[in-house]
Amino acid sequence: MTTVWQGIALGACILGMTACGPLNEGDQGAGAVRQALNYLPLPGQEPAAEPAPFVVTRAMVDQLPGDVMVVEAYEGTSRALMVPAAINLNRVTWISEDEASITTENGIVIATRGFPRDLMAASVIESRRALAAGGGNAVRTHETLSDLDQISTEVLQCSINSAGTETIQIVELDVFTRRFEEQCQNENISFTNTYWLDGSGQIVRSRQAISPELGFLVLDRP
Amino acid sequence: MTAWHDSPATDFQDFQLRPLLLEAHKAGTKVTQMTLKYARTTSYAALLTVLAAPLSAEGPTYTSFGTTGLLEMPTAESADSGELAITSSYSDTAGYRTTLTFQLNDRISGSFRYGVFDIYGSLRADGTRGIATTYDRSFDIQYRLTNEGRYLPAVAVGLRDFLGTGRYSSEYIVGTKSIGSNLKVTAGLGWGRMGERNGVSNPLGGSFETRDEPDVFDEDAGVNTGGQLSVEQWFRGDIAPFGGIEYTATPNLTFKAEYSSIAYEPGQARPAVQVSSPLNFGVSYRPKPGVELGASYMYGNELGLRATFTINPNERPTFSGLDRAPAPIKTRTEAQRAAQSWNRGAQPAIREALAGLLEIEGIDLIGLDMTDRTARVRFENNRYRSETQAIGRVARMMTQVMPDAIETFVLEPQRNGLPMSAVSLPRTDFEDLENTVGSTAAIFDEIAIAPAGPDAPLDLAPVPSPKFEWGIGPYLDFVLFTPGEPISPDFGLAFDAEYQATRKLSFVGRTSISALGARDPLVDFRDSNDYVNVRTDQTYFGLDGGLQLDRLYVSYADRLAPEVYGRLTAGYLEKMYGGVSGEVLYAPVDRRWALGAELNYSKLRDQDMGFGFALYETRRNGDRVEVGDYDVVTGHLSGYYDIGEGYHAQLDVGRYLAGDYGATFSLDREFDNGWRVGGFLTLTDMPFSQFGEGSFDKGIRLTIPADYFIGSPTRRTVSTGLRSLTRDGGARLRVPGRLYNSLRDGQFNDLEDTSGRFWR
Repeated sequence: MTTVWQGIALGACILGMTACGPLNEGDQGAGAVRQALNYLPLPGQEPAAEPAPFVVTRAMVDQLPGDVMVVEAYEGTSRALMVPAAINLNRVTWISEDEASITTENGIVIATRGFPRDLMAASVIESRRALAAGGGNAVRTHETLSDLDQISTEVLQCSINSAGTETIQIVELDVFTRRFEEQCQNENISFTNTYWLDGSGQIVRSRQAISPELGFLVLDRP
Repeated sequence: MTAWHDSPATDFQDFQLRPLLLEAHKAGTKVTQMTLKYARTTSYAALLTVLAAPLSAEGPTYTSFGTTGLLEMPTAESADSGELAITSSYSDTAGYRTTLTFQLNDRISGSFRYGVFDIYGSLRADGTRGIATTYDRSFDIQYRLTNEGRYLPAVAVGLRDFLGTGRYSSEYIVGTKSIGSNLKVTAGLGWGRMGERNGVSNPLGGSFETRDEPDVFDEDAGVNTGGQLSVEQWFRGDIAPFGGIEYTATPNLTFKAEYSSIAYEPGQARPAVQVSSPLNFGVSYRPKPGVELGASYMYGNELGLRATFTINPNERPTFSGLDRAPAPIKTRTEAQRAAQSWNRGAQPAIREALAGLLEIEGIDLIGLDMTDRTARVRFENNRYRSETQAIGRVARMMTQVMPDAIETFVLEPQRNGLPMSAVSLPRTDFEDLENTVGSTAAIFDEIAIAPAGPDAPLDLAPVPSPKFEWGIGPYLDFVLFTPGEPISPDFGLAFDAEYQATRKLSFVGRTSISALGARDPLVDFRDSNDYVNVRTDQTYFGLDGGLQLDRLYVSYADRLAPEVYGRLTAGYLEKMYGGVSGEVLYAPVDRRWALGAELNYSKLRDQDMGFGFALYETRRNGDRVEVGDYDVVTGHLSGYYDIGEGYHAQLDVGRYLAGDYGATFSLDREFDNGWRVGGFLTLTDMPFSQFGEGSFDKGIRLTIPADYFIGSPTRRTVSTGLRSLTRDGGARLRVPGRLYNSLRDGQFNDLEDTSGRFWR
């Protein structure tokens, strides 16, 4: 909230137009007033445009001590750097500064937290094996958190196929990759994940479906 | 504070670094905090706007009576299960109607309606009738018998206005069939008001041929005793056909035409609607999901307008919520898991570190007790609606700081100073199951629930901080559905203060001053029954325009035995009463039920809402005269039962404020995401004729969790109750802080309701 708004809020509090004091924090009435104020444009002030997604540079990546992952969400409108926070067997949980996390297993997303429709868990071992084998079929299980706070499970039939080679750029560096596509479907949902593997077989870029509401995440490993 | 995503973020590195710092501190080394330069991702609020792309509107449209159907007449369609619809409609002679309809499950819907419209008076000597405005409440219910098949229509049976004064009282059976994807055809048969136009004798014959509508105006008692179930008139009397079509031009635009069997024949207390044609025509436009606007040409002579707003608790606009990611679990190696003991001297440091970590989650650490292999943590969660989620978060934080030898986490959620239960969690399973498919069911198989352990030897932190809190804010109050006035608003400024001496003992006060100043009573209403006006006098309260004392009380709650809790509250408990209230609740942690008992002594406060107590009476000239005091002992035995499948029942038996004895039955439809939609009714030994209009106390109630809308976790809810009419029979003291609704959160089946949030 800008200083102007703070001033207005304080004034409104004194005038009794909105609520203040510790007991009123999070008060719906006050919250509604605040929300309404946010929608009212101040005279002579343009509504603030959504900041453009920030650009990741090689220097930023190099500055970080360990592994780094660049995550792009919502069709590229949002981008964040993530670093590993915990490793549980072969499952790595990456976190961003604004407190979202993604857990990967050998580069494939098995969980997210802090997104509007989180993937609570996934079993992806067959997909990973098919990728290593240069293609094949796999069964995936996705668990998401429902609107009613229950686990909702989708079992998907997937087929993984090679889509040739491609030289891609990851944070200013060219990388020669083999590209794979994984087509998954069941009676409710279908999606296609894409993976770019470097010479060592590591997934250096991927575009992976998380949930219908969240869509795809693009993960780069600079 | 509520965690808005645009508030300064708690540094995510905290939970990583604190244990690091702790260990480093122990080892005597200095750790420099690494700084990471990231840009924040786009705010989630903005993302949601992007995500909430308009879906095409679907589901049945609504009538001017606020039920699914055509214009006035019903169809056999059901809204999506759980849908709540508020409809306001108006036309010149049919007046205003506002209706709340709830689709209880796939087949049953119920409606509560409030109407302001004209009715006919008694027949004059010259053959004409006078016309007067009435305020009318009515209830509907519809049950869909069959689904639509390939050839057969969906069929539903329903009752309109079956529990009110019967102005619209009708029963119907109706079928609706889709023809192609754009056309729906409806035909039905109606009884009562719906059986008037071209009605024929009831083919069932015999006693079904006559509809003996009781005269709801009891001349002897001089009161209207509508509001009773009029079972003996259902599906009796003449029967008439009705029907109509609905054409969907675009997903957002539909056209409707109907032949109505409601003739609005003149008669005493019948709606004075001018009708010159049985045909009604209308258009319904849904500009976005949840909004339906209707316009119609009604009765061959007037324009009708309608707006319907729908919301479905099953569809959360914030999806799974916008909680920040939890701390990942810090795992142990096999060797670490084998440790059998730890350095006990570190416990104070562990406690301090854990308290810091839980603070990030908005959770207060209350107590910690550690043995060689077990750590018992008592905490009070101030942020998460789901206690299950809070348990998951506390356990994650425990992995960060607990010595390797600790294999069992015992988590004791506490609310308002009362420990609710003890959940034991095996740490190895917790580590192994993280982020694996099936982990939710698996962890619920592993955890064990027991009554919360003893306070000793928990190293308790009894004093909350801050102890004193205050607030100043505007208030908006409505007195709804008093006999003479549908709604009377009041607004002004309120001052709140709360002092928590300990977590179990608190002093609460609220005063307010109305912006409306001194004012006259809204209605000149005199209740002529033999009972004290224990609630009907509410419209005389707080009219002086000065500072009024809304409440000022001291509250003490404690655990009396492992699963038995007690509460004592004394002072100015509510707007109309002061007194002392005691309650005992037995809530076994592994059962679906609880039992409670409450005993209150209360005294009617002075209507000036100061410190005094007084009973007033209204004289014939309208003056209010103090005539003494009124005090009463009330009390109830209460049974609470979680039926399952989202239904919850409550039965209270005891004595009410007017000295009447009876019982209140409540049934709520509860959604696992915190929504509750319910109804209640109270029957007491106060005769219907003494109760007055409505015959007995009944109403609906609604609780909406705030996180449903805002997405970020919060324990706040918005609750509202609507009585069809506030009267003196079956009235209960409004005691703040009744025990069950907060303590049931710790019962195992309630923890299971939000099982999906354990790992979030």
